[in-house]
Amino acid sequence: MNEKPADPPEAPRRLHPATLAIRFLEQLPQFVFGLPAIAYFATDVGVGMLLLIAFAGLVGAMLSAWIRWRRFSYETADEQLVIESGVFSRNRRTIPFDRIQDVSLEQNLLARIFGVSVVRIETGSSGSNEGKLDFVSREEADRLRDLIRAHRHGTAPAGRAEAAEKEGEARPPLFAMDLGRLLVFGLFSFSLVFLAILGGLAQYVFTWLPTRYADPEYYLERAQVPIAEGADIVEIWALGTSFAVAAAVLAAGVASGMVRVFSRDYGFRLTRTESGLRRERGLFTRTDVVIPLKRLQAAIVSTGIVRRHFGWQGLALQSLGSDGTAGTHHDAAPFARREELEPIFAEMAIEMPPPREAFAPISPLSPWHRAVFPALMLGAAATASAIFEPGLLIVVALAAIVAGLIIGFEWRARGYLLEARTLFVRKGVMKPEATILPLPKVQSVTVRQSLLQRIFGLASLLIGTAGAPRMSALTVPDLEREAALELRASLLEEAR
Amino acid sequence: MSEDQTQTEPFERLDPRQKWVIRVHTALIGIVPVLALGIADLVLAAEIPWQYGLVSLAVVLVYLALVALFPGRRYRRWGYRMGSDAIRIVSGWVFRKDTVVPFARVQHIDVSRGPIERAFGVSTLILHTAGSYNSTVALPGLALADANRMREEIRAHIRHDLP
Repeated sequence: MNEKPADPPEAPRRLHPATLAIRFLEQLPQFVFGLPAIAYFATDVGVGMLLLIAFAGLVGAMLSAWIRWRRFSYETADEQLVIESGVFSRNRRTIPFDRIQDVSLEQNLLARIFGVSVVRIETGSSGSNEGKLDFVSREEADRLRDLIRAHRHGTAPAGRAEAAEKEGEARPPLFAMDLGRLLVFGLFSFSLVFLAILGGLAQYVFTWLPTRYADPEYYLERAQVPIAEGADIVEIWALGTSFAVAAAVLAAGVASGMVRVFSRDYGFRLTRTESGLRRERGLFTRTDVVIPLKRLQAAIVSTGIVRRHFGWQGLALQSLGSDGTAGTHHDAAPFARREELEPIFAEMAIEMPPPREAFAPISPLSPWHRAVFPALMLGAAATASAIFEPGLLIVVALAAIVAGLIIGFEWRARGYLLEARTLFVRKGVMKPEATILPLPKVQSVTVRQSLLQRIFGLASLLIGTAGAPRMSALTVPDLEREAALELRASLLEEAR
Repeated sequence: MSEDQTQTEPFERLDPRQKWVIRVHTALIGIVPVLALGIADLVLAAEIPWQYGLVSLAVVLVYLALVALFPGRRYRRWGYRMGSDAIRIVSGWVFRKDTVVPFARVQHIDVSRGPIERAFGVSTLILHTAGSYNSTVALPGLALADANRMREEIRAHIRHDLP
């Protein structure tokens, strides 16, 4: 099947020597932090002795790392990757190129300093560390990937595939994020999670700070101003403090969003390669993942309750496990304009989701069905408060209004559309998202009815798709039963 | 239970012996709580003498009712239909499920037989799909010959669909 003569047999290769340096640097903190522990248990040992013990430990660890490095080798021959490892009991693992689903490269901060990267080989079986080469030089990593990928294109001569791959490198990226975009993305990723952590820390810190510095009267006293005259100052102080706190909260929220976005998405680039879409991103840990188009199952366009109004959307792809974490979605363009998504959809040969209005709503009975349990609960609460504490009725009424609004908005956010051999399903109020499922990717379809749904004459449609997060189905809930059966029939008709 | 799917549409019923499989299964699972409650009742009898044996009696009656009536209902809710290119399986008493698996989407097929099933001569056909939801779709209560015949039929489609 390969026109080119089989790859010339090559000598087994070792990992890059920088591996040893990285192992050393990775282990150093353990020894540094371990020192006080040793000192604690060995009280009668001098500092010199202590350092000697630590040094000996480090040398021992390095020695074992060196032996393991010496005993680890890999080679690519006869269209398979052979990894030999083990110090005492040797292990020889053979991975045929045919079975390799994907090769991804990853560089953490240390690896980037030394110019090496981790090569992960995915074979699609359950284990995630089926083939892991840490670390090889950047060029070797590229060579391995090109070699394996060229093979996977099967009938095409390896030379041409490689050329195409190279050409892909030169092609302009399908999508990239510059600094300005990252800043805007960071602003929209405003999050107060970080603040909660800060708050927890503050509880500890503030108990150590003398509180009198936060009290304006302390300063008035020191300036020898009578308290009565300083009343305005106290008021302004209080106002100032509130503003300062509000500003600090805002700053912390923005900062945490920025940190998250920059560390994850710095230098984001999505390029078209021979086999699929290649994504590189990350500030400290740089990852380089290829999502093969052949294994693409569905696309998800999501946005946020705020960013929606500014026209920002994110695109994630659902594919058969390609970077070790099967059943996750891969960000393909986390923060983009609709126009920027168009070329990506064109490459994937998948339809863009239509505007909101084009979707068919789910049954108007759905909100009533969903309201049954909250109504029973609130009814019980109302009865209880009417008997024991009539003042609480207003709270129950408020809760009822909030619950009603949530149910209403959630109903409005849902919708589906079957068009052009594609099923579009949208949902979500806080994080509206539309799933785009090409019908040939439908694995199974279930119509499900609970007791309550039966009373309302409703049914939910659950669609099995490959590569979806564990156990979750693409769901079109609460359709009239007939409509659900009809939709299923046309799904299966088109799926052929 | 006015509109019974298995009646309005021409679904195949499971092998009648499956009713007994469900019955034995229910009986075995139910025996544990029944025994536990019986023992609890013995202990409590000393404390509350007037109810002597009442709780045990009620529990045993419920148990017998479940074992006698429940399997029939469960059994009647099951149904399947082999189409030309897909299989449809309906089940469920409180939660009704109605699943269609296109043969072309079946990854591989198991015919499994547990000890109870073996005793009654039935088997379960298990279809594996690539989907993470419905990754396995089971159809219990088939006579072994039927299960094997269906497996062969579906397998022919899989082979046919491979490029």
